[in-house]
Amino acid sequence: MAIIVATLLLFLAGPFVLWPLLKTPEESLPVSGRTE
Amino acid sequence: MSALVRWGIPAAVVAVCVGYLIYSASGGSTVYYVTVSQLRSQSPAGDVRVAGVVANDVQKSEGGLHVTFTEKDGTDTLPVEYTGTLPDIFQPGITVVAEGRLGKDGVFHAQTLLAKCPSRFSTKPYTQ
Amino acid sequence: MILGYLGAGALLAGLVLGGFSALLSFFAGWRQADVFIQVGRRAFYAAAAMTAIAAVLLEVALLTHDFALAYVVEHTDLATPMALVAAGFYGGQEGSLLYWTLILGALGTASLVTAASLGGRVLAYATGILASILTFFLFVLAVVASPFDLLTITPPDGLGLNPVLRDGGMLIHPPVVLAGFAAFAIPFAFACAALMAGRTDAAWIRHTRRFALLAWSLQSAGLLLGMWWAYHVLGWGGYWSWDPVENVALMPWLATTAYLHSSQVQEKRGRLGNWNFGLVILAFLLVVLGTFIVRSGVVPSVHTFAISAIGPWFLGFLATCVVFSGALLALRIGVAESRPAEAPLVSREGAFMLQNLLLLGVIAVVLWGTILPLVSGMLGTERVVDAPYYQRAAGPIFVFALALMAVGPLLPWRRAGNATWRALRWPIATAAAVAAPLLATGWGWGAIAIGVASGGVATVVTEYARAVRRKPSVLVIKRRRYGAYLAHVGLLVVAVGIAASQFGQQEKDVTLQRGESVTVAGYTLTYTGSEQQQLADHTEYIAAMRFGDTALAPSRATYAGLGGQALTHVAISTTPLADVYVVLAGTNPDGSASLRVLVNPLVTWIWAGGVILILGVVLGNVGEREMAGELARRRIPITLPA
Repeated sequence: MAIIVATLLLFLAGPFVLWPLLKTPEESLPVSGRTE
Repeated sequence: MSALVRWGIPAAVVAVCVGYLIYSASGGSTVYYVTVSQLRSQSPAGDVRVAGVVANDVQKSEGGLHVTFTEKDGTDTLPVEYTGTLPDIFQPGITVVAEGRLGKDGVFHAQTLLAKCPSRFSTKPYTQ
Repeated sequence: MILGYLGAGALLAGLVLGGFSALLSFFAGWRQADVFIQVGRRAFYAAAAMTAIAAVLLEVALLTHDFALAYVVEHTDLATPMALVAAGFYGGQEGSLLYWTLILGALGTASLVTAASLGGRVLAYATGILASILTFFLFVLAVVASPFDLLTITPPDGLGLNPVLRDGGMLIHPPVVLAGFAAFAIPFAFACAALMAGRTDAAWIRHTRRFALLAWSLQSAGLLLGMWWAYHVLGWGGYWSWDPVENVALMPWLATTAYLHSSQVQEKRGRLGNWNFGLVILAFLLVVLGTFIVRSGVVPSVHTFAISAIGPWFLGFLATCVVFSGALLALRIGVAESRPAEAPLVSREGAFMLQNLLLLGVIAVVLWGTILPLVSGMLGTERVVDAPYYQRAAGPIFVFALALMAVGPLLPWRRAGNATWRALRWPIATAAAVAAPLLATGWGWGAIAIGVASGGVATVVTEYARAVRRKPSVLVIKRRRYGAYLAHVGLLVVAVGIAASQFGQQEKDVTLQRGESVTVAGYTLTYTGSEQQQLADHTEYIAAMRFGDTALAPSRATYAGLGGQALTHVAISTTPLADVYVVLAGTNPDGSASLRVLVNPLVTWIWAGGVILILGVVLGNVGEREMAGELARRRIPITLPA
């Protein structure tokens, strides 16, 4: 049961975590360390 | 004078002083921490600390400033006599650490009595 | 019941995210892949969020008395006041671990969000290290010691708190100390990240200084709160017993005290870089060691800890951290000292170096005393040290450190000259004037300590006077320095309070009949009678005492339902000069009372000094952003290109 909850939470967190990968190339800034 | 020597000398001096302090302070101040059976069999000299569980025969006098009880450690028992204020939690069944000497009368004369605080961090599970 | 599943699920999700963050961040740092660095950071934030969710769930379970959870049953009951129920969150093993992890996640997030200027690699490695620590804690929480374990049958009521723990001190002391412990991970992570990335400039120090200061302040407050609680509630007349649990809170504090000073040398002179790495790493390793000792039960302590399941895990974690940091230091340490501009021994830099050595010495003394039972037990008969060991071994070192506090601020960065010796007149004169009469009364080291501390206060006064004479606004512009001086005063006041109450304490055990008096240290107390009150779950015996115009009522409560366990309520009459401290040992059938009376000089100075200490830290660090401008003006390189 806990595993089900965990999986659900991971699905919710996924987009937030993977956002830098999902952004289209034009949007991401070129210099490292300056985003966030 | 190279930097290493210049800074190394004070460091060495401090280290030696600290080492000496530890050594000299330990000499008189360490006590053996033994079980009841070790106490009887080894008879260590000087003050020792003995841990055990308080049995049911606690007797207080002088308004609570003097107490005698038996300390149980597995199957071994040890009569203990202590003068002074008792730790709050002192009652049969708790673990205490008595520090003192075993007298010729077979009674352990404790100068200090430490009781284990109520457990905040034990993972003893609640049994149903 | 639902809360249990939700909480366990949140912890599990956090564990996965934390592990993912750690692995990805290390890889991304190695490859300098910017996008992955960002993903790794976000995974850390998400893991911290999961921890927060779990924490909220646990608190809700406690406040709604959800007795399906074993943890709620073990630490609360329906009769417990709500404040203590809420405090049950950090009151037990599993909950306190969750609290720790929560703080780690929150502070870690704060430190990463503000770290943009450090450059990608350091940021990535810092994320990786923080995530690794977070993952370890989440692993222990999710797998080994979960606060969300469910009971097969839900009992109608819980077990409740032991009366000794039902006190306001229990509300505030543990969370402050635990937060301090958790905070030490931040400087550690950034120091190691800088080493890994080969960055040996002061950038990591500037960024993490506020976290180190926060950890140090929390630990200072936690130590003082613990001492206050022990003194006022536990009733043995003292405030520090050198118990392992106390020692493990003290040692990281000492290392961080050294670091906070030593880091200034690196910021101003570019030296002692290796020391700073070492001190920060040492502080964190001491925290992990301390956690292992305290929660595993391997060392005898009055704070009882059964040999618990998490002990071996923390030992493994400690071993991993030691190997990791040791390897980093060994491999990278040569890189650190890039500006070997030598300074003479008798200079401010020399004073800071000496301070490092002295505080390390105290750590060695305390560490040896703490782990002796473990070491000796493994090699033969177990031996423990008693309180006099610490006083004899660490006392002299502390006094030297106090003397350094008096001399150091007056030393210039370059060679000390005649001006310095002239400036030292006042502190030396003050020290001698204060110490001499005390030495005459036989206070020995206590006299020296108080004298030296007074000299230290004189030094601060001279520094303030000089500033006010030249340009008063410098007190605000350079508030980091003058706030630190105020903090010094606070610490010196604490030192005086400790020395006086240690060396000047007098006590007497007596049994008094009604109307009889006892005199201790010039204070005469009369016992006027006792009464007995029957309350819901305990019987209270109250003794009425008078001295002068003051009435004291020490009492003793007996809890029949708990096998006759007692709880002493100490009666303390506090004046700035001394505390009159009375403990009721027991009442007798003939109406007499057995009492222990103590007179403790200058105890209030300890608490007052603590307040001044925190005030100094706060005032000195308000609006720290301006400091960056000041450092830039001095043309010290604070960042290198990434």
